[in-house]
Amino acid sequence: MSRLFRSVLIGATALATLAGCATDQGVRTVGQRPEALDTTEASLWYQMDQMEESLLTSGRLLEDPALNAFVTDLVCRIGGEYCADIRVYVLDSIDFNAMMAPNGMMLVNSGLLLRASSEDELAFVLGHEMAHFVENHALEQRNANRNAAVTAAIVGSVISVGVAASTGVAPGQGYSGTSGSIATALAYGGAFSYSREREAEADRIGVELIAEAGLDPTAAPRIWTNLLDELKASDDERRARRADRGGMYRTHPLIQQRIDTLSEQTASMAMIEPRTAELDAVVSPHLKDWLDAQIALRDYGSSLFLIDRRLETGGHEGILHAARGRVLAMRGEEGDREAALAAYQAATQYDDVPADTYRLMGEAYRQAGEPAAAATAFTTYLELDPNARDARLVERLIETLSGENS
Amino acid sequence: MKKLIAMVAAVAALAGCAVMPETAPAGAFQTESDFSVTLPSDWSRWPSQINPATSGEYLTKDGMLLNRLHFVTIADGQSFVRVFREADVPTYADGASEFEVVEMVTRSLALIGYNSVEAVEIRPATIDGNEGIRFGLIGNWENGLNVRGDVAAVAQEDGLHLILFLAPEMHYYASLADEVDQIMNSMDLAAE
Repeated sequence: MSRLFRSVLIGATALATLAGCATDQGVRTVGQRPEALDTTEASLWYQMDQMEESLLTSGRLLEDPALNAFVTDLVCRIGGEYCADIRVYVLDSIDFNAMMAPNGMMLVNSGLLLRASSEDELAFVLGHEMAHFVENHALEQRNANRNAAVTAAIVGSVISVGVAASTGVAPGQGYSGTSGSIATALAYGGAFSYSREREAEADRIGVELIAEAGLDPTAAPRIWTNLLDELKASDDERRARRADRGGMYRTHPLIQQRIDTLSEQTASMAMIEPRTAELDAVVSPHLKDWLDAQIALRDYGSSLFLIDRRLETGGHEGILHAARGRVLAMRGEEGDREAALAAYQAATQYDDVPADTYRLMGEAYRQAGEPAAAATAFTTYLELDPNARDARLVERLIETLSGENS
Repeated sequence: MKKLIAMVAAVAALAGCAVMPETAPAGAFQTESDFSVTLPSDWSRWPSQINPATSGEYLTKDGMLLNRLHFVTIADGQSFVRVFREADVPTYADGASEFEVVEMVTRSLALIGYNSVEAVEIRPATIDGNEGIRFGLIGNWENGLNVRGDVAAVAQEDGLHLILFLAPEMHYYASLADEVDQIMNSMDLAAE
């Protein structure tokens, strides 16, 4: 039985490996669109066109002309002649992510813009997505997934019947049923392995594209290193697990593997001084909103990592110290209330302190049982933002706190 | 034959358990939560059992996507969004400030299909003799439709009592805003 089972496994493994084969679609030509409407590619384009149409009315896009123009220009700088085939959308989503669809729709999350510390780092991720587009990876992956489904069905059936004939156990029972399941697992494992290979290829091409565009190739391992450090700092177990989670069903290589491979690839390349000014200029108007969205996730470790990393590079100290205070106030561990108040006070030393820092400060003093300080902070808040959306509530709080104080 | 009879009996028993939308007639309306309201006109009631995304019950005039009045009491540590997998859902905590309540509501809505939700006109309100808050909502439904809403919330020992109204901005919100205001003003926390 064990020899037979080994044979089954070897056969299933060999056949399942085929799941990732024969899917190379070659390099896309400029302006390429599917010609025949009954092809897999045409189906994929149709689905993506529908998704793009929905996206345009979803209310999830950031309609900041300067921000969109900046990201589009960067895409065109690294995408060259493919620029005209691509439409870039900045998505109001705080996750670190970007996506390239085969119809030319590129989605760039605000979370990526928040985390990229230079234009070069952002360009690497955009170059990675561009590589998926140019190399037709979405179509190849769809074919690999389809092959996996077909392979699993055929191999599973053959093995199940074969084992049943040898053992006398009915198909679907005992080893025959188990071997069918193994065939399915291996076939899809092959497809996921194929996905990881495509991701590694996109990383490699992404580096080449930014280097050719005169950007810093060493930004590639750097952005992954920053993300890995952020995940390690995360209080969210699911996010923290992403830092080192392995397994045959991963679609992407391990982050550490990507860092190692990219470091090796860029080791002999000259580092260019990272550019930050233009990225900072388009991110600045959104920085507070994006930090608020990140803080609302209640992943305190990740948020503090992001804020502290930005504080190290300088600039936006009022916004950043206030954000830091808000994270600490929400976390509420021993000593956090005092630390939050200190962070709010630090924020008030800078010109870019957001008005609602004083409201947060008032709230912290109120919870600490200091009505006079709370009333003063709330009053300053309304002086700075008399039309605040919560002005009437804050006015009432000032009245109440003043009464408590007298 | 015995199997058939047993099956029919089982199906009949299940039919008796089925929860369906029903009429909520004008007049006093005892919610599933620990408060009641007065309805100026008839509504259609959707009990909590048939609301997959949230706890609490809904009333609607024209269908859930066109107007919905949500009644729920949220206990300490609970959320009005039903937990989906391991999603991080906003929860209510006893002693939460007014600002935290506003944020919990707007963040919760973002998890059930509303985008870019903002609270507006946040103001103190006396709700059945207790200090509570009222505020408006603006945002988009996931298909891009502009929506507006109103919220009334008051904290009590057993949790946060919440009435949440949402409707498309065009026509549906304005057509019911006055009636919803009356309903929110009629909250009776002593009701059983």
